[in-house]
Amino acid sequence: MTAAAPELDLLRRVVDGDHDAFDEIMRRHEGRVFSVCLRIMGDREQALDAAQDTFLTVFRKAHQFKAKSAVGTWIYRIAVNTCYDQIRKAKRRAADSMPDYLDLIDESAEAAVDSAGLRPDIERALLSLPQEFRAAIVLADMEGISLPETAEILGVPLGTVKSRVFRGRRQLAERLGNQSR
Amino acid sequence: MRDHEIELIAGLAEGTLDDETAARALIESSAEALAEFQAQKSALTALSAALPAEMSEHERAALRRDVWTALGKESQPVVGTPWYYRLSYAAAGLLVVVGLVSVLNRPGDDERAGLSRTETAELSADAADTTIAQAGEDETMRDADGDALGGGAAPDTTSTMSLPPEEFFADEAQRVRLGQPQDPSSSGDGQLEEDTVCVDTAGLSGYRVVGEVISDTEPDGTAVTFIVAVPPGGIDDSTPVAFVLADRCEVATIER
Repeated sequence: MTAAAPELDLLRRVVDGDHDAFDEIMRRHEGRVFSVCLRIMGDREQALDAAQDTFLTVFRKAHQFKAKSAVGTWIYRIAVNTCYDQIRKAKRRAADSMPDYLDLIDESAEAAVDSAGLRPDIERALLSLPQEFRAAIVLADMEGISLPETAEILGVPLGTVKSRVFRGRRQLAERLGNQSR
Repeated sequence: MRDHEIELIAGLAEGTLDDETAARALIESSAEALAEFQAQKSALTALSAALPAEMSEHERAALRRDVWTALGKESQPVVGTPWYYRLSYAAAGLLVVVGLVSVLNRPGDDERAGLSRTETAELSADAADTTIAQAGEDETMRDADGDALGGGAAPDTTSTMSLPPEEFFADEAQRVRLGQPQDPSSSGDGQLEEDTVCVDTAGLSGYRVVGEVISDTEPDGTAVTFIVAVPPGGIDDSTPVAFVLADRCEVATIER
């Protein structure tokens, strides 16, 4: 019953306290949520933290879902925003402890780029993009999500997401070209 | 280049165009268009080499475990202090009072004997009241398992609770002003009504509820829910954003 249930029904059952329904929602989306978070953040530990926070938010906010989008779209929007929040907090921590952080970023950079399943140069170039471009490319080009759904996830117009994807690709190519010189 | 030309070139690079004629003509006629095509193609080729970003079974199990652990702490019922705990505090207090009275009434001590019976009774009553009040306050020091959270004085229940750092509110307020979805879904009708009542109770009559935010989860699993509200009218860069404690209906802060 749970395995074949439409996701809106599952979410309603989550609101009613059905843990099996929430478990099923996690099962269906944890892979992609982790993948999106990993591509955006470039670190497996941080991606797992973001994924955890994502599903906790899904559980807490399930009663507020108004079915204006698909459940999956809503979940991935939470995931992207959670990643943005964590990146912002990491930047604040870095600003608070600048000298130490500068040492750490050099030490952890190689570990980070090796953990996300991309060639190091590609990973480095992707992580160097502005986070809005990076998120758009991760969703549209790496996760294979349609541009209209990507726009919905990111909460921006379709034209904006197209611009971010195309400009992001251009910047990625430029940085890969610069790294190879 | 115009947006539709870039879109055409990107479609050619993606291989998604039904008819590539126009796109090919464009890149053959323009160096800029050709460079754009090469950049789009280069990026797509690089990204296609990415391995699937899959969780290991260990990571998957850890994620599930951590989520359910966090949810378990949130839903853990608050168990009241057993009655015999309160009784034991009162009994201990009475023993202290009895001992005090006996010491004060010890014959041969002129100072202590100077206390009248009335004064002694008042002293005893005050001590008992304080002890029983202490027992009540100490209930709040025990967690759901009945274990004391720490020795020492009873907590000051009137003190301000610990709030997230200022940056939390500043960042969330900025997201509201930029129209970014800090809360992916708007409140359900019932919840919206409750939140509006709460905001009104907090003294912000007329404020419009725009959503809720939850502060970072503390190590003990607690997190604070804030109702986010703005004055009537549109939202712009200068709109004050109010954060109301959802469980107390008190204003935590207003970001201006």
